Amino acid sequence: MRDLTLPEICFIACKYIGFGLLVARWVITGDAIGFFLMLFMLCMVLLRWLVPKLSYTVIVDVMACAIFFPFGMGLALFSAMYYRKYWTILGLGVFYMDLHMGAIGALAGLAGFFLGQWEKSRVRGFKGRDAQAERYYELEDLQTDLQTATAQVERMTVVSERARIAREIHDNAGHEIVAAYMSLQVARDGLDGADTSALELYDAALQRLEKGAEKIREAVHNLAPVTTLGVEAMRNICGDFPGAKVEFKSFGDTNHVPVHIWGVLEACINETLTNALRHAKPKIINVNLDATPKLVRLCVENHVVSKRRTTFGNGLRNLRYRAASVGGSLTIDQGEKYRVVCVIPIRSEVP
Amino acid sequence: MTVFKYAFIRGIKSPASLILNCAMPLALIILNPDIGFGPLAAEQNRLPFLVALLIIFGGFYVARSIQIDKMDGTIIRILAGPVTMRSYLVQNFLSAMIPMTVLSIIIGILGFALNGWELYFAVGLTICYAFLAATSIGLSFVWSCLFKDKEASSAVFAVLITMVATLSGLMLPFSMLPRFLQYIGALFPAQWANRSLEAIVEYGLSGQFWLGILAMFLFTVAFLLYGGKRRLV
Repeated sequence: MRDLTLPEICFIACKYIGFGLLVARWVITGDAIGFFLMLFMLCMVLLRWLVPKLSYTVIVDVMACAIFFPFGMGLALFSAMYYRKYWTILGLGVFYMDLHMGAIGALAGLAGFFLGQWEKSRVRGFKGRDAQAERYYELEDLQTDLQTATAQVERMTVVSERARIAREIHDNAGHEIVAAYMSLQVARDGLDGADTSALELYDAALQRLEKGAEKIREAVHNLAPVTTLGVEAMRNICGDFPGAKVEFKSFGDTNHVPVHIWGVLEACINETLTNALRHAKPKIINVNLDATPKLVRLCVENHVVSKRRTTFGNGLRNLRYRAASVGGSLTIDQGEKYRVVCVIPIRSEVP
Repeated sequence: MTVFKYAFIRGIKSPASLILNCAMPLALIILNPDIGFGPLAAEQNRLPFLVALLIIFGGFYVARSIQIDKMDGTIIRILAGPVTMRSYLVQNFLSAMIPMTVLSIIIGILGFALNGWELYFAVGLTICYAFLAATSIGLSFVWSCLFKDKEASSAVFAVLITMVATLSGLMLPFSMLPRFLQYIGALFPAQWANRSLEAIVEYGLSGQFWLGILAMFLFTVAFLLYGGKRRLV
């Protein structure tokens, strides 16, 4: 059970005093109604203790006191004002003929009002601190995400560069050397009458060239990355996604999309697919990637719209920051379809 | 309703519960047919008051399954399943309330059929006993929350019930008690049961009778709310 706060302790103490006064009145007057009032109010207090959301039931206390037990109005108003049901002050109307009782009721109500305000300001302070803590943890979360993303981009850059070098060697140097080797092999048939020592030298050079071509082929094979990159990586993510069928379509030339943008797009596709499965459980999810020379647009959509409006949770909020960090944007459309669109401009490296 | 089923079976199979809830009240009603009516009848025949005392005991013991569950750790295993504390308490309350209500009805029917009670008297007695049983079961719930040890709980309850029986007027006529003791006794539901019984014996289903019933109802609500809030585990 949670610890009671000081305003709550004061509230409970004042209620005990109120109950004590009711008991005293009951003993002095011998009026059984006083006993029933006590018992009834005890039940209501226990009910509000059991279910704190039922604080509005103080209205029942005030009404019962107004109709049956006017002398308990002070205690009822005290609770009602503490729970900020201000209009119950109208209950004081039952004392229009008895100013003394009216004054006691008003004072009890005022005491309840001040205690309620005290508790409210305390709760407001806690809420403010909670909001600050939440913002702090969100920023920390974002920082961790960005650090992870930076490391990922670094890895992808390395892999991408290796792939480019492998492609360059294979497409340019590799082809040239193989072509030269084949030309030299053809030329060897025309040199049958030449000097023997020159022919031996020629054959040795040919063998070394053959070994060189083989080593280039091996180097290209070793340099080529095992992991997929870019559009292939996205296709793999969609294909391997469990729980729903994901239809991936790509349009335009994606070769000129920089590596750091692929990092953002991959994070985006992972997050949105997981979110779709968690909240909407669709059977089919469509993923469209459009690449133009100026921008790249990723759209993830499904036909199942959750009844609860989606707000930007931590994952989507961080994605939004990441998209913004590369000059892009992330938007959610919850019309007939649920759609997440990420648009990122492609900036020319050389101005 | 699995909890209800097993609590019900356990409640009615217990020998103490059988004696307190069936044998003794029914024997008292059957063996004492001469209940007088009218002024001073309450002081001449204490039978309905003794039965009320037995019902307090019976209600308390029939609802002790919660305490037993708490002692042997069964409650932890039950609450580990898809059973909420509220549902557990409601099912236990029902399982204890049904036999006690049936007993009250049987007492009314037997009195009406065998002992020649007036209809209003039989009905009033049945209502009074049923509400008293509900209050007693509510008290048992509160008791289960307050005590961790079964023996200590029984010992303190025995002391309390002796005090309650004296102060409430169930053992000796209420009017014989000093005034301040009457006020203290009013804090226990048994005194309101006593007032209802006195009212029905002497004046029939009067306002005083319904006032006692209302008090017992409010006590039951208060006990159940308190018992429902306090954690058992």
